[in-house]
Amino acid sequence: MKKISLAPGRLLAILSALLLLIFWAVWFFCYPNFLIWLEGYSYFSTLPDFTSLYGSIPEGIPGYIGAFLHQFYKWPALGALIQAFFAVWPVVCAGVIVIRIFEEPKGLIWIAFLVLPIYIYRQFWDLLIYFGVIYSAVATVLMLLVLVAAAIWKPSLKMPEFLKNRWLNLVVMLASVICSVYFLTGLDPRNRRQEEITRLENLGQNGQWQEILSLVTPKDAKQDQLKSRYALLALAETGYLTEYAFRYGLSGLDSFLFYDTPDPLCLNFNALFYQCMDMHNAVIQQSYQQGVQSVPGIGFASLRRLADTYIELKDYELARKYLDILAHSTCHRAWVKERLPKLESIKREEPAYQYDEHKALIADFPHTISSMVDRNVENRKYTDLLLCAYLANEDGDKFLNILRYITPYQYPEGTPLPRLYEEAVILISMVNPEVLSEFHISEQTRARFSDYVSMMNTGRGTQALKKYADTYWAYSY
Amino acid sequence: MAVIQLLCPAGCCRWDEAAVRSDESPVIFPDYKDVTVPYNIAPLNFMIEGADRLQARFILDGKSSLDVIGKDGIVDIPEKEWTGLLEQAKGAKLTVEVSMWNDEHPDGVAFKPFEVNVSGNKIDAWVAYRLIEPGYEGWRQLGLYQRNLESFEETAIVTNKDATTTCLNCHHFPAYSSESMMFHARGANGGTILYHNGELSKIDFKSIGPKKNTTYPAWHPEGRFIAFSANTTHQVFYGEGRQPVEVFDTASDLLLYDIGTGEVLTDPRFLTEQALETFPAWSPDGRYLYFSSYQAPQLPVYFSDSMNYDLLRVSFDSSSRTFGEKIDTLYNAEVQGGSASHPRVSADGRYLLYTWSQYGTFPVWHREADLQMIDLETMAPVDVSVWNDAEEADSYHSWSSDGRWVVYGSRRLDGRFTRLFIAHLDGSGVPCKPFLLPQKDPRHNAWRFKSFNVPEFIDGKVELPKEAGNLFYSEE
Repeated sequence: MKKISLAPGRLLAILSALLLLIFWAVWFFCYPNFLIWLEGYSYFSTLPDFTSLYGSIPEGIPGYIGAFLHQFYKWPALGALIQAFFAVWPVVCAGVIVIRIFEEPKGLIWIAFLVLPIYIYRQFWDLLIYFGVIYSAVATVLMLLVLVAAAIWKPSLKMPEFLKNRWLNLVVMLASVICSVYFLTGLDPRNRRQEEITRLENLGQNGQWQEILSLVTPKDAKQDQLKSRYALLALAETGYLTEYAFRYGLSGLDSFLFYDTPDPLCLNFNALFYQCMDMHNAVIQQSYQQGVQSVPGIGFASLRRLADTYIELKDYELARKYLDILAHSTCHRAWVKERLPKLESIKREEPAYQYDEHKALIADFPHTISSMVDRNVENRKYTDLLLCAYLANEDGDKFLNILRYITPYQYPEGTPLPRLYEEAVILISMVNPEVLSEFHISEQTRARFSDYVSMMNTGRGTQALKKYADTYWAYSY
Repeated sequence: MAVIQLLCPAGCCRWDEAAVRSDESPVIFPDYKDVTVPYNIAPLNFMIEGADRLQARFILDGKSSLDVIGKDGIVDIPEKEWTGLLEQAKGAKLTVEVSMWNDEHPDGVAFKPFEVNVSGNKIDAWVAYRLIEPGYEGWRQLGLYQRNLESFEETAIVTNKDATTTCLNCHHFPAYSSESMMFHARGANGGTILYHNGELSKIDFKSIGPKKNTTYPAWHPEGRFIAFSANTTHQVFYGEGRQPVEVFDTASDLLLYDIGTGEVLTDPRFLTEQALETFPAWSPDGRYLYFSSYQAPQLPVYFSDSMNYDLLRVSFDSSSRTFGEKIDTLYNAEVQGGSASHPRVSADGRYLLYTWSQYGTFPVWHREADLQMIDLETMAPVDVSVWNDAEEADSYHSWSSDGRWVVYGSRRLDGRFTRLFIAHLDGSGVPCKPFLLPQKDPRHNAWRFKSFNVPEFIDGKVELPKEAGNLFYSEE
């Protein structure tokens, strides 16, 4: 069989292509949602304020290049390719240097692979591709310098034979690649979590609540506040909050939202939550807050939400402003064009801001949601959130007050109460028996409660808590 | 003789005559129709939405003086020719003929000409302001900037670019001087930064005098004192409705800082818990301190829409560093209704301009907020409604050094972002139609996603030493 001998340059090209494929695949298959998130977190524009900003901040030109490239991450395949490029390009540069300065370089290509894990180690959290751009730029400059120097001096450095060993080559290259893939996928558990949360973000944005509930396990929810909040919002949106709230980590008044946090993931969740609650000002406020966490002070995700919110509010001037701003990026022309008919249709309409007379203050959770309950007394979503928050806070008096207030609208004439409410009422009846005359409690709940009490009273508390794990009784035990 | 400016590559544009004459005025942005401008203002570049091609002819004394052929719907007036034209037009009117070509008017339409009044009153060449995202809670890149009104030059005086958690606010200058400046830097290493007599310093007001954190400043015209209000400010947000936020104080007092001695002087009358004093402002001669005040036997512990502020003034003797006994009420909120904020006295001492709103102390978030004015000679109100927008907030204002111009913030463009408008008050005290701060590309006003804050006229470009940033730099 004829032995195929590759020239060093060709070998480097083949290996680089292979590397590109490997890291493209890692990024594309492991982190597609994170790539999309990176686009939303970034912002690029041809507007003068943006250009002058990058002329004055420490991120400078690398930050500007990174911001430009991030625009393409809305297509994960392209984003993965750019990420892979930043991983592989320094290897290519190092490889060219090896080829130009060493005698018999083919056996020394492994040296170029040493630069791979150095960058990959920090690539995931290089959110602005700042380090990536600098690393690649430095590699490029070094390569060009070596090329020029090599053209003049024609060096031919000799390395000991054992360093050119084929097996050494193979082992170092493989180790370098394995190590790098591990750095990306296995070393830091935060990477995986970031992908999971950004996936929930995308699902939430698309209203795929059932998918969220199928992804977040009760165990996840109890260990991760963001997952818990996405699951609770999904329950509220699907009408299952009064069944499974405690299963998904509901634990107090602050379980539904985030407060005083600069984390863009949390701010994005808050914006989504308020979007689901039709509280437009709060959506706008949270979107601004989310935007200012990005280096330019605004991000595509928040800009898009602002544009859509103002269109929904029929606020022509502001909707137009944000669409105009987005139109000055590279990849939003189609997105903007799609919305132009809507924009045109609201041009002569009055803005649809509601409740100008009786304003709802955004304060603590009960205060915020109470104002929406007042206005939407027949809407179960608001009342469920409020009542479950009071249950989680074990505030029976407030729970009963609100339940009494909404009963004529939502549970008239013996309409069965949701399971958690029945459980709460029957538990409260232990100290306040007359509440049983106010609300209809099903025979099934009464029987379950008798069973629960009986188990607790006969030394089978652990089994009772296990058997009735999702109940208000277990929660308040 | 007309100077024809061909802004397109040679041969692609030529002056043309529109086929149709319209009786309608052009709908231009910004609206410069019938405005009064200073003769040293930057070119009033404007645009017409949907125009493919525009022509503007500026006519002085019946003669065509400057022809501009615009591109992409924008009339971009050459600065040099504009400056020359305005120099000739001092105290006169410019007539502007605009013609437009687009799909609807392929052969062009010539609109009814409009006029621009060119005042003989020069405006201070620079205005300082803060640019900040209207996110109301957090910020990222913010800074104090200055704009040359005679051109389009905008430069940063100081920014937080090295310390993004730092907030910069409440900049002020003594008697329009660009040689001295103060501003607050909030954050871990914050304080009040003072640049005076070529020296930089940082003052920590929480460690001297009554140990109160200072807020709104007013630098005495003699340069020695700065009056401050010390406010405990809060904000609440509304989930829906047109007004997104309410800013209010639960405490505010007046303090006087003596730059010469480094002392903080107080007057017990302005330190009570029964009154909230805020927005101090000196008369141009330094003999009076004006301020807003809300008084109640029992102050609300939280926000209340019954918090209506009066406008008061008290005399001041700089030699004894004391305030007079008598406090005059210039605007009585209980009698006259509403709430008065931001008192500012014109340079000639004749007029007191303030912001009126229905209630509270932060009118920029109140859509009903308008500028109002009192003639201090007669104590009669002066109608400045031409400066106000019927729908959106008109708020923070500052007088020029000759008392003929006012720069103020208005949200009339979109209801959310504050933009600067400049208005003229003629020699007879008649207010003229205001104009939007000119920009090289008129759309810049709409595209910028930062709000203009606290515009203050200054007599030149501030050259703050770069070390100023070190005074408040923080790793946090």
